Amino acid sequence: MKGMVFTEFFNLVETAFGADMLDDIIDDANLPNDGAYTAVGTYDHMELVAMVVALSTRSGMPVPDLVKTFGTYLFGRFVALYPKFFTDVNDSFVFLSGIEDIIHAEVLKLYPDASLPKFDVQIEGDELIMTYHSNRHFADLAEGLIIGAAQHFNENFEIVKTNLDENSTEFRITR
Amino acid sequence: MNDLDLTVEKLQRRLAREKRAKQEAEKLLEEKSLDLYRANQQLSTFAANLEKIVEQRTHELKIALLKAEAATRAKTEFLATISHEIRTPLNGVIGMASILIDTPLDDEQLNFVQVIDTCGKSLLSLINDILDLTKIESGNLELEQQTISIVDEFLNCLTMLEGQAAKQQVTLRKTFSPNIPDYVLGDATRLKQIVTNLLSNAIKFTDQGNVTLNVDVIEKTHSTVTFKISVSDTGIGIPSDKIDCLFKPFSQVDSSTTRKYGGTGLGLAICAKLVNLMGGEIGVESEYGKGTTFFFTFTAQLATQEVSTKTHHATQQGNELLSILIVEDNLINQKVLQISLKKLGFTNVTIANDGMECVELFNAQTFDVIFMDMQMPRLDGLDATRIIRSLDLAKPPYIIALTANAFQEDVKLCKEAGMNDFLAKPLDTKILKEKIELLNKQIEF
Repeated sequence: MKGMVFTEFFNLVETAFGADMLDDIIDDANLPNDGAYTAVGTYDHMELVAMVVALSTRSGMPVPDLVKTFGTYLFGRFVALYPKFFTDVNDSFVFLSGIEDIIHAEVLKLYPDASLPKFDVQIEGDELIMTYHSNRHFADLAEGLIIGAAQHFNENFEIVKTNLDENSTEFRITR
Repeated sequence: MNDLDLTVEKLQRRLAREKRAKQEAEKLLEEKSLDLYRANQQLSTFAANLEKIVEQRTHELKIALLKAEAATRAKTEFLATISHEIRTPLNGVIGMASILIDTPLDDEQLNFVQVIDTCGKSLLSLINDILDLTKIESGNLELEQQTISIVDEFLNCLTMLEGQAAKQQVTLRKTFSPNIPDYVLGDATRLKQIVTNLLSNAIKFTDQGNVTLNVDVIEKTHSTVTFKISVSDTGIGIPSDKIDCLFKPFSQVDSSTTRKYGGTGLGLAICAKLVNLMGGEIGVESEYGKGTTFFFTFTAQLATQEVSTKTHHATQQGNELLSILIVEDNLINQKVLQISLKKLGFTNVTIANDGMECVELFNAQTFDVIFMDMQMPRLDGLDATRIIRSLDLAKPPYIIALTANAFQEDVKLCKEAGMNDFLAKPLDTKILKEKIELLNKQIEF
């Protein structure tokens, strides 16, 4: 998993729960690098999972809620860090349809070895059907990101989430 | 605010500063990575294009090379064909003219025939020169390395040109250095060609005077010797501005000279190329109106005379007893050779119209000498020779190739097929006589 997901997670935890909480969950998760992450590195996603679990334990909030919240926050950070992907896009469906071909293509330029989740997108009438494929089981993160997109484009999404199999989750989105 | 609070605030500011610095560094790194990625892309596109262009150029060059090679082959084949086609009728013209000269003719008729003879011979020498030059230029000429006596070879050249010199009232002189070794390794034919050409030129451009052949040794090591050969005349000389183009093909000092003196303008070009091939240098010194000196140098390996193990019976046989077979499909050529041989006293002559007839004749009889044409219908001269050489004959015939194919490769083919000697058409009666006389000494009876 890309390092920027880790560093942004730290930012969120620090902002929402404080620097002490961050120190605590880093200790709890028993990380191999003691939490020294850099945005341009690549790390085991299980380390993130361990921290989220630790945060859930300490805060009493369920893991899926935490992950979803983080996804929404992450979307906002994407907009701040990579404004060029958003300058000419005014429609959330157009943006979501382009993740695979435009954004992931750019990521691969910088990180040719990155193993990215796969998004199949199709539009049926007013509905956008987005299928998330990944063996990392971060469908909640994906959902948070979709919500973040809706907020960015000032739209209201209604999302119906269905687990298709172990590694695939379908989101049917209407607005 | 107490001291502790101040310290914490300071540390927090430091932390924030470090965080910003880290984020800035990460951003920079991504930007640089992207630049690098783009540069890489450009480079690989560039490399791919370059490869494509190189491939295309290589392909074009290959085609050009193939075309050039094909053109060279075509030129050589064309020359071989033309040479053959011109030599065959020329053989008839020169042969018949030389026979006609010896018949009763009045002065006017004799003059006409002599003109035919002269024209024929000059046409022949032009063809020979062109063939020679083309061959040297195409890099196909290989110099032989035979054991030769420089003195003997050059004396031969002088003897050959005595007639021409006498006509021009030119006295031929010679000075040979006493240091000249008895034998060296060299190409006798080509050395004689150069010297004969220089001598012949000198005689041509000298009216009543002297032509001197001078052979000097300018350097000698334990294994090699370097000669400087010069030919000086007291002739018309060459204007200094014309000297530069002397060794270029088809150049003449001027057109009026061409008219007066004739010549193809190829002789010196051939000499220069041959000398070059021998690793030597050629040059000229001339004073207009007083005379000219041409000189060339070449280095040869020293050689010792090989003792011939062949024993030749010197018994001279009556010419009429020598049985000769002419194998030739062209009727005129048959006649020319038959008459020429008759004039030399050879009357026991049989004719076969092609190789097949020749081989059939050997079922019943045998011959001392065969004149064998190379290109004939049904069975060519090379195959006929091979068949005869495969026969178990008590006295194998002496086979002389007689052909209009004047290339060195043909000589090689003839020798490989088992022929003993080679005569190029058109046949020179003088050379024919020399060959026959030599033959008379060589054949064991």
